[in-house]
Amino acid sequence: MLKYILRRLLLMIPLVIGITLISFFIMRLAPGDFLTQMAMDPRVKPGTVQRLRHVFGLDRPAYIQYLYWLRNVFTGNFGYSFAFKQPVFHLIGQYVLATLLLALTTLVFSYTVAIPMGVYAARRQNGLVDRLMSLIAFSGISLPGFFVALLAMLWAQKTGWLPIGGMESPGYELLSPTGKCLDIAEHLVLPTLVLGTRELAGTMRLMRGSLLDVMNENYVLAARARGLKEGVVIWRHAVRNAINPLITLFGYDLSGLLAGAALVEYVMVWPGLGRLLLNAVLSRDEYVVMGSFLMGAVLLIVGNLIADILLALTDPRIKLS
Amino acid sequence: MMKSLCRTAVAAILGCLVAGCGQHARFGSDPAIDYPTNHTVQPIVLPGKYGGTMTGTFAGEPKTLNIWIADDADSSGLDGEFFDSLEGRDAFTLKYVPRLANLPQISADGLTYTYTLRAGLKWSDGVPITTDDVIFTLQVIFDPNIQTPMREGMLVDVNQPDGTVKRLPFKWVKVDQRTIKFILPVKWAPAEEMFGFPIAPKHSLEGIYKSGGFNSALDLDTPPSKIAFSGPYMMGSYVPGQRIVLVRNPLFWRYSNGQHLPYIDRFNYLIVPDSNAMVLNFRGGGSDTLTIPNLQYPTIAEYAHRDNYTVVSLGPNWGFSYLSFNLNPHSKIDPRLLKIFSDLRFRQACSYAIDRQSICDDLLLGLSHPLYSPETPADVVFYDPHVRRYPYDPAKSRQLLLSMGMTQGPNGKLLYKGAPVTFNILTDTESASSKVLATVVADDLRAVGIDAQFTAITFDDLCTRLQSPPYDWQAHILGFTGGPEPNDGADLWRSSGSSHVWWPMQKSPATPWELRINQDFTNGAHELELAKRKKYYDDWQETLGNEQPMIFLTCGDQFSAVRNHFGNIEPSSLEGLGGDVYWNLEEIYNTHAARLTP
Repeated sequence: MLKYILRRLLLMIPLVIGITLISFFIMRLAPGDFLTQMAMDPRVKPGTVQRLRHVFGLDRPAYIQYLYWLRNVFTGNFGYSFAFKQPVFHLIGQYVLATLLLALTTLVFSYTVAIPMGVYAARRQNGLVDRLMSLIAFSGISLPGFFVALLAMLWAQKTGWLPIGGMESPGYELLSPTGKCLDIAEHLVLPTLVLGTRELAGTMRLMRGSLLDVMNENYVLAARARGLKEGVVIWRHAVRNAINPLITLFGYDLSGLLAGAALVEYVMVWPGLGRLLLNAVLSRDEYVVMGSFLMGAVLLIVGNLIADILLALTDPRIKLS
Repeated sequence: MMKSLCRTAVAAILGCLVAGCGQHARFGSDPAIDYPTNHTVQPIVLPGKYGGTMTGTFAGEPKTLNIWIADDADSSGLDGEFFDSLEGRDAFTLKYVPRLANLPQISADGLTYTYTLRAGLKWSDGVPITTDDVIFTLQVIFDPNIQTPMREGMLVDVNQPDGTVKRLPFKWVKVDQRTIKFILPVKWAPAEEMFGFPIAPKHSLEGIYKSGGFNSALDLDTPPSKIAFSGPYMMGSYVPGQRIVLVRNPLFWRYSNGQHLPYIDRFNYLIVPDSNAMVLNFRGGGSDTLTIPNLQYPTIAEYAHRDNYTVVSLGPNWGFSYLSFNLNPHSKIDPRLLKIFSDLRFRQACSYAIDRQSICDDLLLGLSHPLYSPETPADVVFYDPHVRRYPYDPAKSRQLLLSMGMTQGPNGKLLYKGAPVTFNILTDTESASSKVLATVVADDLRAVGIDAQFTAITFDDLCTRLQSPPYDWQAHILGFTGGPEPNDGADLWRSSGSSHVWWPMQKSPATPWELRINQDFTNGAHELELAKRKKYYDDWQETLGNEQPMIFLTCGDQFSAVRNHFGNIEPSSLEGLGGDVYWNLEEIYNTHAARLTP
């Protein structure tokens, strides 16, 4: 097992180099750089932009820049944000907690709701509830996240029941520790629901389909023939076997939520990594983009590794090595 | 007149402005009626009460507290609140006002500016503010190892006998702890603007500077105990991506009506990147002020009375939008098109063909005005109302085009030497209003027979094409933001400038009128007497108006909404914390506050 994990982690290195190489050169292929917009401002005096471009190393060829960056990554230096004047690692650290918190609540919410819902829908296939849930699921998948986010914000403004975006109230510093927790919890509700509904839709459909497949297997018939209670048949025998695709999906969800929540974060004013990345891409703050991609890639790989390990733990047929 | 009306009582004006704002086309569509210039009288500061908070939402996120190396507007926007300068501008009247020092004594030859700091000035940690701090700041700015974008702005143009221009720094001489002299190499009209740089606290920063860490010092997380402030506010706390809390600086220098400013204890700077979220936040009571996005104006104005806020007019914007043609013979442009674009009649014809008034009335909800000059009416000092105007006149436009030798072709298209005049107007994808403008402008041009199309590309792509060879563009629509010092735009207007859009970095001016504009800028920058100086900038605007290398299109009005429980609101259309509702934050008070002493 340990050998397997080590091998997977080693394989990560070429993969990460590949991902960052492609993203760096795609970014450099687009015209302009961090200082282009500044150069356009007539109020910036002549000479300033050329000088800063040299200071930032933007006048060097792209491959040299990439090699410097890569060398620095191996020494633990993820580069420097042009805009924030801070090391990228420090910057990402400031934003990653908010994103992880939201990803966690979203995953917990979507899985705890999706699995029972999927099971219920599969048990009563083509029933009214199943159709209703399918409708909800398809709406959830088809509606763009930022639009739902905007609707949720509008609802919050109209009713005044929940905060309109953000992660903390303006007077957060003055609250007691319990007050602070409650304040964040209150702000978490809407983004969790918006992101979670999307996740939930897909997960529920997968659970339903996968369970339907399993329900026709011989061992389910055998379990029923032995006279086991329906609940035991479903939860102990069928769901246990049907859950594998969900575990695989979980590996992707983790990294997907970190990167894919950018628009929702932007609209709902959630101070997360997605928003940092989006701003960095728009302002061409290259090393912040690279740092975020690197982190996304690592999370994707680690997420998949965790999923594989979980699979091996839940399914005796799967062996790691 | 409008101004005296506004000053009577804060509560009263707020009410009447809302009423006034209900009618969208406030300034009418009669071109004979000029833009209002209401910002001319120094506002009176009413006595207030201490305490309370104010919350504003901002789309941009400040990146660093180190405003001496910041290269983004959001970070520099906070400088006035944290770090004061020797002198500043009243954002309302645009006049210079004393800040940390008196207004300078200028020597008879116009070269020496003597500033005397106020007596008893202190940093927020109690250390006295002295001329050593001023000198330290200048050392940092002129240190080649410091990544500051401010350095080139602190240089003075010195004309050389051979006709070239050298950019030289000024000298500084410390007279005593409170007095400092700046000695310029030549007379320099923007000097006072230049000397209004934010002063850095030497005792907080010298250690970092000497150890070489200045370029990454002072991120927003810096504990307030490690840095001293001189502005009305100090850094209270920073939550990345969410907010900055500014807290009252108890040692701020300014008094008004015998009261120690500022009045408000805490200012919450909320970072809300999305404009819809910003509007919802304001309407839900999450913020006290809102810079109203243009198209949201009717909704916001409608609920003002019911929800106890007021829509205040900031007057015309400093920014303008324009259409420009590539006149650069060293660019990747078809020589035939270049010949057409270089013909003054063609540019004037295009200007007549564009129906600016209906763009303003129909697309921009009547909240914009036609613009014919690079200075917008926001600049109450330098705006020249006598610039040649090009009211919508398609017949005149066609007549001008035909006089160039164009002939009527099929499908209503005009032919020049047997082929239609086909070109592409570029604009950026990021700005919704640019795309709307480009659509209408291309339509208007097609209506007179010019085959214009438009394409939106990314802003970076557009900037790259405009700035660097092979200058791959034919025409483009963009906007620029101006400021109160016309010489700040010199790089755009001088033929040698790198942002001289229609033909950048010319070795010598290609046309007599470009030479004339160069001279206007040279003379204007070295003339200290305002009335004479204004003549040069009038000439610049009028020359551009006649020659139309850039066809100016529209200038928007700006509005903000402010909750009714704030006093001393004197909005300005300058951008950021240095403008808008907040430029005089130190004078604003919360009428719900109750304390009579700080």
